[in-house]
Amino acid sequence: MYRRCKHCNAVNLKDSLHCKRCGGELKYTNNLSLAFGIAGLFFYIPANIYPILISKKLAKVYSSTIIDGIFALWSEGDYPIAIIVFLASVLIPLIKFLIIFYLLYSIKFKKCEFYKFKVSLYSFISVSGHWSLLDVFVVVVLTGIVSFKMMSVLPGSGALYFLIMVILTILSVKYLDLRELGEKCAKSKES
Amino acid sequence: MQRAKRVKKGINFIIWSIPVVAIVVSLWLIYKYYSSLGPLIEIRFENAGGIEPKVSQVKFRDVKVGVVSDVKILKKGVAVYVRMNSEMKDYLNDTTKFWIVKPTIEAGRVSGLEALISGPYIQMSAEPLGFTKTKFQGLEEPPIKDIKDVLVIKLVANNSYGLTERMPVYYKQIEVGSVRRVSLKDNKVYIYLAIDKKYSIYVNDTSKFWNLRGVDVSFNKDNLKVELPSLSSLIVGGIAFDTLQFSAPLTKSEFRLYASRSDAYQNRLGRDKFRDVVFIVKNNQNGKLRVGNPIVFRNFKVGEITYLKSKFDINTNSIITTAYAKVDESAFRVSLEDAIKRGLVAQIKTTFPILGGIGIYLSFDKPYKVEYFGKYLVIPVKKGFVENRIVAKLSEILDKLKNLPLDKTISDVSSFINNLKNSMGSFFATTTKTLNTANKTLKGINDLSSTIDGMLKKEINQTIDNLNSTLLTLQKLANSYSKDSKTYQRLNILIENLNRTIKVYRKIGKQIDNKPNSLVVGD
Amino acid sequence: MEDIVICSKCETPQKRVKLKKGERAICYYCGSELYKYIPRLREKILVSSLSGFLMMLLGLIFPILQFNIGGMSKDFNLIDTIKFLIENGYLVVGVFTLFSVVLFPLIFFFLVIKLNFLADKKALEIITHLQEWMAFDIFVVGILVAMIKIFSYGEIMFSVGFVGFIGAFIALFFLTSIVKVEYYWELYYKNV
Repeated sequence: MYRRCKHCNAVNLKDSLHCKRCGGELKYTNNLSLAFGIAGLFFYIPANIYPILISKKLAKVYSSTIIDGIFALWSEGDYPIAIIVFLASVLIPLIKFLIIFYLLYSIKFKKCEFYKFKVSLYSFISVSGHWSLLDVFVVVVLTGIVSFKMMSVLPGSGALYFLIMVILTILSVKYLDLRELGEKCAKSKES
Repeated sequence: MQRAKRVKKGINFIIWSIPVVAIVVSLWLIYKYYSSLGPLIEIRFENAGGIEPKVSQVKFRDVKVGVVSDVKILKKGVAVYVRMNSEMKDYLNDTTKFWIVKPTIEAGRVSGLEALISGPYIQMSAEPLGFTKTKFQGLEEPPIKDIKDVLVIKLVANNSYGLTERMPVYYKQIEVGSVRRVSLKDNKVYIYLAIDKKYSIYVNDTSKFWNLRGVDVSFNKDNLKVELPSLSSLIVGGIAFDTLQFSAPLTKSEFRLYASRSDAYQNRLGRDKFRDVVFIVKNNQNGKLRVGNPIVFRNFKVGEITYLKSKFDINTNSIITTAYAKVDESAFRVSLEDAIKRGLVAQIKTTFPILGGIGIYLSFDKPYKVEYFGKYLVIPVKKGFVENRIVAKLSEILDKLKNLPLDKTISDVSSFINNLKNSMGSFFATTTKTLNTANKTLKGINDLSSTIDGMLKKEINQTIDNLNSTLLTLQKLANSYSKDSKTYQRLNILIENLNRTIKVYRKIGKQIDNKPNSLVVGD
Repeated sequence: MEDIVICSKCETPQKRVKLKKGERAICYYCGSELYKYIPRLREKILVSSLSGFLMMLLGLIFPILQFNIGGMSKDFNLIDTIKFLIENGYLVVGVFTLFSVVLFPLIFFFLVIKLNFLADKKALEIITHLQEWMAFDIFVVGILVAMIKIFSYGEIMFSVGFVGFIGAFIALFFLTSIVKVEYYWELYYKNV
């Protein structure tokens, strides 16, 4: 009978095409979400293989990947920070892909079991969306701070791939529509 | 349709994740900051020497171990506050020394080059003996053993010969190091030299060190040789050394510093283990005795007179002189008492003019009784006086030569030049010219003294010319200064001295004119 | 339809209830939060948006940090850094940072201020879509992590801009995470 606008949470009639309040589209876009998800996964690999950070000391050039950076923090004794960066840059993106594909699979095949768990999974990926940007911003800040004649830091190609991956996952989560499953399961519950 | 539930407000953890992480990271940063903060120490210096807060570092073995956080001016000196790294805690104790390293350019030498690039910094040296101190008195100059890349040599001498810090050390006329410290302890002068590491292989047990400002006068057979060091080393001063055997090991902890090169290489009988003795002299030549006159044993100098005391005895109508002297006991291989028992005796004779006037000559004769004068051993003296007339005359002339105000002139020139260097660099060129002329003069003296023959007169005239031109240059220089300036006054004194020197030379020249042979043969 | 709310998690429609101070409404079916009562919300939004905007400007104009290493010092300024990135061929990273950290938050603050005085549907629409593309909060965490990374190399000093960024961070957190997007619609849409 009713459908929630996912942009502004307004209550709309189910058969309307656009939200009466914010004008956003009301139809489901889970196919688009799948496309962005697959594209994002594709960029996950170079993002982790290519160096995210290039540091130049005099004539020497060092490059370090995300994993190198985490190991460096760990060996410096900054354990909490290493864990945060590891979670934000490595684990969360990976889990996010798994959740996205799991949820899309659930929506496609109307799997209503563990519905509440799936809802928390969804809220997890929608909130943690920005977290993966942490490492990119760390590189940006380091580029700004460490730029001396003798020593400088520049973003590596991994930073670009990583950023693209994060943008694609944000888009994927944006278009992922758990309402479809919710409505379907609500129906099954009522019946 | 069911109603929504009303509940008390709670915390939504997902929403708060970002602030929580931000706070965790900030707390970690604060923890890291405070755990890395080492102790704040205070070092006092006479002046800050260009140390700047937040910039200047403290270095230990070339590693940055602290940063100057503040510099405060005290009633006397300054207090530099340094935040040390926490791992340096154990190095802050009584063994810790701090000094400021700044670039210095002096006498053509640059030191503390790294400080030229990074600015002055504080160097630290310490032993890890625990954390016991936070207030330190900074050193005004680096401690001797902590100077990097040098070999530190300790020299002992009876006189400092006017040596001061930073004077150069030469090996085969190449500058290989410098004087680091001159100190007086137990009535002996200790001089520490820093020899550059790359030249340290030239120092070993066979090395001999001598003072460069010393004027060498030597007399061999019929040649009088006055050897003057180069003018620059006369003015700058310094120490030279030479090594006999290149491959010998270095085991000596200290070396003797000789007054001059000839002193260093004099044929020695003993090993300079001096003992204080007295000679009681009763004859009419007592008046010729001088402090510094040699004690000679079979043509070896084994000691010298250190103090003289005379009294006239009206009853015997004679003068009794008590000559205090130091005699190298090791020259005889037995104690002086044993030597006297076996017949050691002294005789007053005229000596080689070079060694000055008359000397006390030792020889072995019949056994004598060992006597003491106070705590001093008395060495018996034979009556009578042996005189050599030619030598006596020569010695007179040489005395005159020796007493030329040359030393004074040179020291005047040197101090004048230092003064000039400090006050006005623009006259440096003029000074250099003056120096060159003076150098020529000295060369003239050198040549003059190399042979005493008919050419002497010409040489002396030339020397006078040279001195005159020096005088003219100096006068020109003097005119360029205002009359009441300090430099002008100093210059005037210098000119007076030069004038006097010229007069003495003229006198010698005239004397040679009248009696060409007087110098060599005597009257 | 005004008195109906749909749970954003389980999509169950239910009737709204009136809330008192210190209360929130949760879904009768799944228990997730529907809405909460924030006393004097309008004033809080006005204060946060105004101070957030000014703090943000402070953070952009003044350097955020100063880094001293061996006598050399370097100011970290976000605008200069973005300029540097774009000029040196890091276009995507630079432009993304420019929009997600600088422009979108500025626009967001500006529009929220504007709502307080002149309710505007267009502004509400932009605010709605802007939310997921702002990454200012993560950037502030990024600054902190970067500080830890360079901590042992030199001395880091906070500048005025850092205070501005922290202020903007707090204001933005309130305006986006505590105050959800539908509250703006509910507060200002009726005035349009």
